[in-house]
Amino acid sequence: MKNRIEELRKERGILQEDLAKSLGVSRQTISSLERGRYNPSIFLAHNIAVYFGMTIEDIFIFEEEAL
Amino acid sequence: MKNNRRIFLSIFWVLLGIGLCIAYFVTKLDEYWNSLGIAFIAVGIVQIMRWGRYMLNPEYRKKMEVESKDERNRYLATKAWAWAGYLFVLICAIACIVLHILGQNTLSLVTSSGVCLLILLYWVSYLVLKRKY
Repeated sequence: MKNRIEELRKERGILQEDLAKSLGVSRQTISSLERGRYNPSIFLAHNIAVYFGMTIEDIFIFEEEAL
Repeated sequence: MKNNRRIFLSIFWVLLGIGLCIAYFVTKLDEYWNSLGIAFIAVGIVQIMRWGRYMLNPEYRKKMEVESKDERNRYLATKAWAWAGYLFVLICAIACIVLHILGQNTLSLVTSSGVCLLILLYWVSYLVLKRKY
């Protein structure tokens, strides 16, 4: 699933390491999420949305074929 | 609590290992038991050293806690077990046929029983999980 995590993180000048620490996950998880190789659980998606002050739909791009 | 259990288990492995080594020298047990004792001591010592590092180094402790709770790591571990199980069945199934062709019927039977047991365990696990979720 595509997402805007990298774009939002860079806009705010946050390092992957710092984002990972804030969300309580490893840096590799953030890297994997940004590359769209790993789809987060609903809890992690919620935490990411809360972190950026946005909704899950604003960050994660749901596509018909992915369903 | 979990850490206490781990350290007790590590000490248990070391003591069991020492016990086996002593038993080997005193009662002239099979060499196998001496090797097993040494392996238990080694495993116990490595676990105690890891525990020591975990308790004394806060940075390492934090890193290990994140690593163990990280959802991607858990997902990868589950996926790796699934792959390992699938590959095991595949390898055993091929080995079963090859061993039968080579005339090793007993080994072939043991291998095919292993495949059947794993498939049975899969279905039991599936039914249990189906009820749970």
